[in-house]
Order: sequence, then structure tokens, then C-alpha cells
Amino acid sequence: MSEPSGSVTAGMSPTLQQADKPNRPDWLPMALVIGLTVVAIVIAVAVTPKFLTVDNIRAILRNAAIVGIVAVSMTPITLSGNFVSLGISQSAMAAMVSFVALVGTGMPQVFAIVLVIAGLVAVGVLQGAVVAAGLNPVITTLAAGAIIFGVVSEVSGGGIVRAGDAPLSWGGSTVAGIPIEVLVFLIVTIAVTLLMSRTVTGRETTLVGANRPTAEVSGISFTRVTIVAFAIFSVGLAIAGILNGAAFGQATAKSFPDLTIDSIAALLVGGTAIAGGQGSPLRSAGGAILIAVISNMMVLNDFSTGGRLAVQGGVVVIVVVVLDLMRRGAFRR
Amino acid sequence: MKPGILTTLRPYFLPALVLAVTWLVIASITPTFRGAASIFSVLEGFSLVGLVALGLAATIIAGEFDLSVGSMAAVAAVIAVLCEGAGLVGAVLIATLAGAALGAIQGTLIGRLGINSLVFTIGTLIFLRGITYILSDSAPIMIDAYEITDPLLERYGIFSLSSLTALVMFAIVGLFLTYTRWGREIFAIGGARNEAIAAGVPVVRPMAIAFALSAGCASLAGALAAMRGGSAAPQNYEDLLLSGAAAALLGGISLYGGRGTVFNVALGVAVLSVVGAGLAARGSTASLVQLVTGVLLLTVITIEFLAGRLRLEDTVFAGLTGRRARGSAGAGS
Amino acid sequence: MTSMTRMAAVLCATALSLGTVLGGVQAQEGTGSVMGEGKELVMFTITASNVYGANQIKGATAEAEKLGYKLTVFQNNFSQPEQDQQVQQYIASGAKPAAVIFWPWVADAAINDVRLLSRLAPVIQLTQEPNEKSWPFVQAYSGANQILIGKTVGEMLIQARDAAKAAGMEFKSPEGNLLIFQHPEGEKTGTERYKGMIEATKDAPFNEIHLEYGANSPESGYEIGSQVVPKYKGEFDFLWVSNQQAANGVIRALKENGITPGKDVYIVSGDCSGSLEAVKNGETFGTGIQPAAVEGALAVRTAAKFVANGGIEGDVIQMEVEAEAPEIDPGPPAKFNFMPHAPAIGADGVANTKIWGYNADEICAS
Repeated sequence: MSEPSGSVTAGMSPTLQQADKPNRPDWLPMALVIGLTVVAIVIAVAVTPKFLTVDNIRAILRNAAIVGIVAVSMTPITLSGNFVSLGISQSAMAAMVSFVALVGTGMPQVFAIVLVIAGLVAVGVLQGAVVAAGLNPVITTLAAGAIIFGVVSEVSGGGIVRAGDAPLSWGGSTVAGIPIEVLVFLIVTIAVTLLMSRTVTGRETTLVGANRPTAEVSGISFTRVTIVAFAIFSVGLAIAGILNGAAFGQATAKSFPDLTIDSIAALLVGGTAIAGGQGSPLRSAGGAILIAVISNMMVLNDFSTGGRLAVQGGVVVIVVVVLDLMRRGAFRR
Repeated sequence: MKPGILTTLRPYFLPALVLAVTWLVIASITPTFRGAASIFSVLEGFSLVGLVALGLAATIIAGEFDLSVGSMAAVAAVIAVLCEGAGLVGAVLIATLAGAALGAIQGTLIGRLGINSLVFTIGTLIFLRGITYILSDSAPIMIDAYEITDPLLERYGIFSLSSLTALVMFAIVGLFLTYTRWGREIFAIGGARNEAIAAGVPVVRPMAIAFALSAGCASLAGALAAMRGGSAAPQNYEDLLLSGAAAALLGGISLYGGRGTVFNVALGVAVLSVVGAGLAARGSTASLVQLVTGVLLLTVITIEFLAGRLRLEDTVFAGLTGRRARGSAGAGS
Repeated sequence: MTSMTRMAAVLCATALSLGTVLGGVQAQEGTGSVMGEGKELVMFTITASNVYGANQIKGATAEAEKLGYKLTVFQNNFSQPEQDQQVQQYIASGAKPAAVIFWPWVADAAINDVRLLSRLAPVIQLTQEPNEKSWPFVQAYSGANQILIGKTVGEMLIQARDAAKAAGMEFKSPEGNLLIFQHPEGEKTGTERYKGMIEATKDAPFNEIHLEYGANSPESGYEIGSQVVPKYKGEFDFLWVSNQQAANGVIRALKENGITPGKDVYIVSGDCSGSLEAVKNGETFGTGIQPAAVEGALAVRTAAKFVANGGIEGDVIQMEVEAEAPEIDPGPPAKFNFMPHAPAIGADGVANTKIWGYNADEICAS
């Protein structure tokens, strides 16, 4: 069955790029990200007086944490060749709203956490199954996001969901001086990275993304890999939603407005290839931190909102183009 | 071998059916959405979502996807307001041409670098949003001499100047895509790119044109809306991507690329317009509209997928998929 | 070609103005009764996912029901183009309301909406006062008196300064350094309140070190706070936040930066929309009780009074702070119909608040 070649959103047939083995060592994109971060930090310190303070570093890590958790959790989906989800904001929002609502009913928080994670995994696995069956992942997640938004909006009446009288603010607390979301970010990054590199399913994920027909011939199930990837992603989304819900004590259907774009940007800047088969959750974490560093530098230097966005977009475009060229050996001597 | 009238109309059966059913359902539950008022409302939808869907469809037909249409509309809106001194037509023209130029640059880069348009346009989406903030100084800007916008506020039966402009664009783009060589090149690189390249079809030119169309149409949409409303704000039109994509896909533009006509887009836009205007007439919230849009989108792409999987191309249901049966003398596929 | 277009534009403009004059602002016959008897009212306001919007819609809906009007509410997510589209769609649908209640998201930008709506029915504008361009198309203003709110903020800041001095706080400048987190840029609410605050503090003005736009919800308050507070840490004594929801977010940012609100800095919020915990426990010195529900109800009343009387009379009606809602006055509305407003300082102030039957928590938080 010949699939149309070259179309960007269509089937998972390997593109010309992936058929070649990467001519550059695999660590080069990571080195690029680290190098960029180091350069960025050096410039930042030189230019901005208040950059290298404990308060500021903490603020950077805080800003990177939620986006980082989501970008890291989404990496398996990208690795498996299922591109990205365009329904990120809505799913995280659903987790936040349902967590706050459940706590508001008086349910013990541990139960609420388990329920929210289970609920999100169910919805995510459903999307994964649909995608595994062959539907386009970008459009499926876009549509799913719209449906989730609509449902939560209608159920919540478009209003603010609160945790009632139960004081809900542990999301803003610190553990031994480290903000809790940063701690969770660290744990999630380590967990997902190990999952991808040390388990059979993890390695299968990367193989399927790199060359699906070959992988399937070797007995790897694209369906299983996809569903597992969506499950991991859903857990990450649930964690992000719960953390924010626990920090603000309230949520609305419009929470997390920029999360989709920010997470995808973090994942791409980190160096994971959109077409699958290359990258790692660790890089996505790095991408999130890099973007947070650059954003912070700009805030401290009084960049306007527009200026910050323009620079962020510019960075994404440049990094993505350079990484893509490198992958295809454009810089080969 | 000229295809009979039934064969020509087949690709439109499903979207037309969806349109008819939706219109019936909405009209039956909304007393004010009937007759001339309803047709006017539906046609009004063409000037914003319709134009965006039209341009987006061009990129989908080319086998790509332009995620930056929302930001492009926002930039154009701001530019149009800033150029109010050029008069109504002048401002809209300047904004549209500026957008088309930006789109052409995007398309050229994507074609030349061979980079995935999903990835590239995520970057430009952020970047252009930043430009919008910079141009508008991060605040809403309004038209001083609001009388110049008066022509847009008039109603001519079931039409307005905005909807007429949109319909004219539909006609122009439709004729261009079907009857010019450059237009057919867009189909070629979308349907089977490697084969097209092998046959000598250039890639960069149709890519540039497709993205110029996408950006230009989105810019026209944003400029018209800004002039009609009398203002532009930097953070607007983020929802246009979902609506535009939904309209294009609902109408039958295939994600596989290489096929579809402006009638497909028009049908899809009409469906979304019915949903949007019909629900709005009841004071329904935007979230309900999104919910219905998401459900419709999922339904249509599922049907398209199932029809393809069940190999219905060889049967009378070929119209459902818009795909031609295997072995027929279908060009470019 | 251009001159043709220009002539067409002029012709259209003339026709439109004539049409507006004839259609929109004509002297109407009053129906004689404030009861609606099933007539329609339409309201364009902000989203209910914001506390203020939610309360306003609740108040308006309740009052419309009491008066026998059928109210349709359109909410926009802080987006003028979204509101523009809603207005255009509503008009296109052929509805025939008795009056329109309109909160333009960006007052100066909504001129075309007001023009279109005024052709349909009398327009009552709420929360944001019309400017000189839109007044020809608006019948009356009903809602918050933003200058008064700003003056109240100024008075509360002065009291905070006295309290801080009494507690032995050392200011960074003779009259105290003031950091301001205001509503999103372009929103008249912020600029009008600012004028009021300056007026009230003109005898001993604060030293304003920075004004940042964009805070009107807990998330935006926290986001802006966590970026701006580190920059000015140790440099400000007083903080004026647009409303209490944003203040709650800012307070979180302050604490994360090691600043104790109520001790290291004194906070005043312009209006109380949001959870009042921080006022009750002293982290926020004082807040302005701006009952959004009353504002919504008052707008419906103003519309009903206009429909009943066919016109306006007088310049200003300032509603007083009353514990229970007064009976609706069947007379015509004035040009400006201001709703009651009062400050609430500390836990006592919150406990003693009662306006039109609502207590502080009902007004501000739910």
C-alpha cells in the first residue's frame, strides 16, 4: 500500500530524512542546547545585575517547571512519530478543574489526586487508541481539546471552580527550600528519561518513531507504544494540573491558556525531532529551562511583552531550523 | 474522459449532508435562526473563519499545515488599524499584501530548507504574535476616523461587503487552484511529492504560493474584522486555528494532501457558521460552539478514515472519501 | 477610482448618520411600567470565569427575573473582536430587544458596536463610561463610579500610611514608595481610578516607583507579581493592586520573595472581587466593596426605567450604600447612574459590610 509521500501530517511513512542514519553523533543537538544555555547564562549575568541571585534562579526554575513537566511527558509521543498534541492546555485545565472541584467536595486529597490521574489517563488512552488506529494525531488532539474545553465549560457553567473551605495552597510550598513544582519537575524528568532509555517499551518507542515499518516487522506493536506514550503524557498533564490547582486553590475553564504553545516550543528547542525517532525527555527539560532563562533575562531587562514573544518565536524558529539541518548532515564537511 | 455530473458532485455528499442536518437541527431549536436572517448570519461567517479556512486549505492541499494563521490575522488587524489613513480599502489592501508577503517568505523557507511546516509555523506563530504586540504597543488600538468603516456596517440583503469580499476571494482562489499551472503544482506537491519532484515539478514555488495564500487570506480576514469592529488588539484570534482547520477538514479537504476544492472549504465554513451563528443567537457561550466544533471534526475525520479503511473507494460511497477508486485514471494520485 | 470610493464612503456615512439619528436616538414613548412582561433584554459583558463577571451576570439575571424581563447574556473572554462578533451576530439574527446593556471591553474601541446596537434599541452602558465619541449613541451609563473608587483607594492608602507609621515602619521615601499593579492596558477602569487616587492623595502624594499593567485575576496577578516583585524588592512600602483576586496572586509572589504582606508592605486593592481571606487576616490592608451583583441589577433597573419612561432626566443618580435593596424607583434614569461603593478595612470592615442584602463574601468572592 503506497502512502502519499512528503505530506507533513499524513501517514507515518518514513521521510527521506529518516531513511538516512544521522551523520552527526547523537549527542550533538544536546550539546547545542547546553551550549546555548551556557552562552545565554553568561550573557545574562554580564548584562543583568539581578540575574544570579537565589531568588531569581528559583523564579526561573519555577517558570520552567510546569511547562517542563508537560514537555517531558509529551516527549514519548513525539519520539514514537505521533508528532505533538494540540490539546495540551485543555487537558491540563481539566485536571486542574476536576482536582479543585473534588477537593472542594471534601474528598481527601490523596483520593482526588488518584482520581484525576486515572481520569486523565483514560481520556488520553482513548485519544491514543484512536491515533493508533490511524487517525491523524494533530487533528485528533486538536478536536479532543475543543471537546474537553466545551465539556468542562458547560459543566462548570463557565465560572470559577473553588476548593470550597478546604485551604488549598500546598502547591506553592517548598521542600527544603526547593519549590515543590521544581522538585516534581526533577522527578518526572528522571522518571520519564529512565522509562525511555532503560525499558523495553521505551526503546521500542524510539524505534517505532525512527522507522515504523521495520519496527513493526520486528514485532513491535505501534498500537501499544502509542497508547503507552499517551498514558505517560496524561500522567504528566494531570500532575501539572494538580500542582497548579493546589497552588491557586481555584481553577476555571480558561486556565493554562499558553501551555500548548509553550510546551511544544520547549520540546522542539530541546532538540527532539518532530518526525520521531530522535530525542529524549531530558532534552525537553533542557528546552524548557532554556526558554525560561531567555524569558527571564528579557523580563529583567525590561523587554516588552511583544519583544519577549518575538524573541521566543525567533529562537524556536532558528533552533529548529539549525537542528533540522544538522540532522540531515547539512553541516557535514 | 469528462466525468459525469454525479461523479463531480460525489466529494461533496458528506459535507453537504452534514450541512443540511446541522442547519435543520439548529433552526429547529433556535426560532430566530430561520429564513433570510439565518442565511445572512451564515454568510457573515465567511469573512472571518471562511477566509482563514480557504488559505489554510491551500497549505493542506500542498501537504503542509500553517499553524500561524491566527497570529497572522492578528498582525494584519493591527496593521490595518495603523494604516487607517489610507482609507478603508487602502488599509485592508496594505495589511493583506503585507501578510501575503510574509507568507511567501515562510513558504519559500519551508520549501528551500525542506523543513516540516508544523515545526516551522509553531515558531512563526509565536514570533508573529510578538510582532503584533510590538506594533500595537501591547495595548488595543482603535480607529480614529471611524466613519471610514461605515461601508462595512451596511447590509445588502443577505450580504455585506465583508461576506461579498470573502466570496470573491473564494472564487479567485478556486479558479487559480484549478485552472492555472501554478495552482495545479500545489496539488502535485501535496498528493505525491516525491513523484512530483521526480516528474520535474518545482517545490519552492508552489510552497511559497500556498503559504502566501494562507497568510494573505488570514490577513484579509483580520483586516476586515478590525475595520468593521473599529479596533485591533494584540492577543486576539487565537481560536482561529481550530475554526479554520475544522472548517477545511469538515468540508472534505483531505489531510493526505493533493485534493479538495474551494467548494469543500465553503461547505465546511457553512457548517461551522451555522453552528456558531445558530448557537450564538441563543446566547450560548463560545465554549459550547467549540464543543460542537470538536465533535463534528472528530466525526468527519473518523468517517473519512473508516471509509478509506473499508475500501469504499471502489463502491458508490466513493464520494464519502473524496478519493478516487484505485486503478482509475486519476491524475496526481 | 479612489474618489468614487471616497464618495461612496461619504454617502454611506451620511446615510448612516441620518439613519442613526432617526433610528437610534429618537424620542421614544415610554411603556409606563418598569415591569417587562416578557420583553427581551440583551447584555454584553465579560466572562463568568472571572469573579466580577460572574457576580455581575448573577445580579442582572436575578433582577431581570424579578422585573419580568427575558435576559440574554453574551460573555466575551476579554476580547474586543469576540464582542464585536457577538454584537454583529446578534444583530444579524433579527432579535428585537427592548434595550441593550453593554459593557464594552475596550471602551474606546467598541464605537462601531455601540453605533450598530443603538440602531436596534436604546443602549445602557455599564462599568466603563462612554467617551465623547460614543455618547451620541448611548442613552445612559449605569455602574461603578470609577473616580469614586479611585478616591476611596487613595483614602485607604492614606490610612494605611498612618497605620504603618504607627507600627514603626520606616518608609523608603518621605511619603512612602508606591508600586501599582493595574488592570490591563487600555482599560478605562484603571485610568479613571488612577485619576481618583491622585486626586485623593494630592495633599501628601505617594512616590510612585512603578506601574505595571495586566493584573486582573489570580493567575495574572501571580505571573506579573513574580516577575516584577523581585525587581523592586526592598524598594516599595505600599502596593495598590487592581482588585483582590489579583492581589491574592500578588501576595503569593510576595511571600515567595520573602516579603510579608501586612508587615513589610501594605496592600490596598481597588475592588474586592476575589477571595477575602487576605483582607480578613490582615495581609491586605483594605479593599473597595464594589458589588458587581448590584451593578448588574442596577443596569437592568436602569434599562427598565428607560423603557418605562422613554428618556432620561437629570445628570447623576448616586445610589447610597444600603443594607437592603431599595424598591425600584419608577422615575426616569439619569445620565449617570452610579452604584454604591464603600471601603472595607481589615476583618472588621469585612464583617460589617452589607449592601443590598449581600454581605462581603457574597459580593466579592462567590
